[in-house]
Amino acid sequence: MFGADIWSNLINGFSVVLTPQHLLFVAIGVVIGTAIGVLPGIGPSLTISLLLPVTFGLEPISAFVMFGGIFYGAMYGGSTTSILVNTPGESSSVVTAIDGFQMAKKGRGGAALATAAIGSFFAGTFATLALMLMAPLLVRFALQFGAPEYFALMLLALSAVTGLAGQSAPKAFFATLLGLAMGMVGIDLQTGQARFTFGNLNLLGGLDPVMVAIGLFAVGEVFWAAGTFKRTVEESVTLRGSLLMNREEWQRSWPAWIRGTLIGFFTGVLPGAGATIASFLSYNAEQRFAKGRAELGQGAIEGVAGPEAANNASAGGALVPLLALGIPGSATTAVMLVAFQIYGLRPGPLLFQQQADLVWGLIASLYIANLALLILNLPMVRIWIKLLDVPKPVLYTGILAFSFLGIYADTQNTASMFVLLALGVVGFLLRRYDFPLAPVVLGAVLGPLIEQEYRRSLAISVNDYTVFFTRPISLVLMTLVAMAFLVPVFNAIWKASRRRAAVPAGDVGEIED
Amino acid sequence: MQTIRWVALTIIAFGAFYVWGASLIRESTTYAAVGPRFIPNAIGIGIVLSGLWLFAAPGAPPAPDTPQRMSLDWVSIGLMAGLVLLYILVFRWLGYIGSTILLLWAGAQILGDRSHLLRDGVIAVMLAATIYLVFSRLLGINLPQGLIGF
Repeated sequence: MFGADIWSNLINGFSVVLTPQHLLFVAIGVVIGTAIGVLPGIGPSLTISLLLPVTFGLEPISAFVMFGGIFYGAMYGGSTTSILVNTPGESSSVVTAIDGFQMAKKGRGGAALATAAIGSFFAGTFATLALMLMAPLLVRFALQFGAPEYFALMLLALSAVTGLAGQSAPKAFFATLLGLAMGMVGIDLQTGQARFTFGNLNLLGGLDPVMVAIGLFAVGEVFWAAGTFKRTVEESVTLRGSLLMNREEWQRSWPAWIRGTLIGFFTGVLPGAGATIASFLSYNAEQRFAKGRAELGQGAIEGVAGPEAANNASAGGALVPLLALGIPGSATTAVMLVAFQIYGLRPGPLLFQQQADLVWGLIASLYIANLALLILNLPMVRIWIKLLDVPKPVLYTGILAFSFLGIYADTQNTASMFVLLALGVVGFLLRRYDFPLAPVVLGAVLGPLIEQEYRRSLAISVNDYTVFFTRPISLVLMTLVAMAFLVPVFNAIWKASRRRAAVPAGDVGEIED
Repeated sequence: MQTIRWVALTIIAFGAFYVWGASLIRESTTYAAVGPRFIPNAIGIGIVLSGLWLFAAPGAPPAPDTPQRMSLDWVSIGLMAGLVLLYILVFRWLGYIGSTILLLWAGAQILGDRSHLLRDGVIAVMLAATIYLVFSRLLGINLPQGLIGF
């Protein structure tokens, strides 16, 4: 199943997906993903969380083929909002808004949308190709992993997301721990003991990470909107001019696509650094290398082309550790992991061997999703724009209704709706005091897994703690963990010693990838 | 005292509560090297430490346009939370369609759509009915029928 077999596997994957039924699922996924991604305030992880209940009852391959479409669709959808409304749809499109909105004001909004769409297609296709070549190599490597290596890897994912989230180290640290704390609720898998249920039977099953994501991101967002709506003025422009790029715009776009794609993919592979960081890094690169760098900030096309390619490429990159190792590096892939778990599947080396049809079907559907995005999106862009006309109060209460619907559909009980409300209040408070939310979701997903690997490691080594440091791979990973952990600590000490030297930058939006 | 220090104290209290919650877990030390209480305990202690850290290093006072400084409309937030609570309480009794119409319509008013009472009402009825039909008929997911009986 390695090496040259990739191509036969891929052909096999396409033969799984290229049926009318599955193509329909890809198309539905792309359309719904884009539609919801266009809506302001809803990013990819929330889109997938909200759509999970819709896939209940589908067979696994159909569901994952649809997720492939949703995944890239949601990534792409945010760019439309950023370009035409000065509020980005999600954090990974914050950077796009800078130059995209200026372009739209100058009447080049169509070109901005086009460079985003074509750049996303290019980046998504490259990332899928790279995913396909890299994942099997990683799988071969990961087959030697035991419990200590998995423990160290998950710890690395957690410390990376903690180290990279937000400006305040203690806040990010707390957010991760809060997620882990949520993950501990319910029955302990090894001993069957109830934990943190306080006699409440509804809590025995634990706090579903999807519910955590919906509560923090969606319900919390609606409360936040209730508090801020009447005080924020939104600027938007109507789309004028053609959707085609002129010669100069093409020539300036393609180098930015390539830079953005490479930056995005490798950022995505790293745990903890998601689409948002990829788009910021890409913008930095454009500031240094773009031909039109002097124009950046006033509507340079590179400022749209690069970051939009980067955030789509990072989405593909993030699937590498998820599929090959079973370890999510972002809130979006964490929710994807939960989707796998719902179907009784555990991503990782064994999945490649035991469920080859599913894995390669998913990879094939990612190629198709990218193509579908390109075909559907440019012609349909005027329909997506209509979505921006939905009055925000109506839109936000709709999100609220859909959140509670999803939870009720899943659990069939109103007690879980109370829990969702409580999580919404927590999400609102975290947002109010500027805590990052993505580490909470990642912690809630990884908490139970990391604990199992920890206890398994110590059971194997008969309670010898050196097991994490005596195996070579594990030792390297633990060293990286220590570095990821110590850098922000030193940073904090350094900052504290130069008190009030700098005021943090403004609200960068919610890091929700 | 800075607000963020109160937040830090809340975190410390939550951490302490969590450690107490962990102490309620029954340890069965018969076969496992590490029992079910160990990691939760460590997490609780970590939360207390993160609270202490935040208290000690609250950072520079927030810039005027950050979320912490934005003046919030607390009345709307309270009304919204109250509405959701009401929604959950009447969910089974009123049925999916009835309760969701209430949520959609009243929610839009709280979020500041006061001049569109009728339009929002129509949207609420249509959306609630569509969701109900799609989920209960098409996807076969059980939603409460309630008073109205459908």
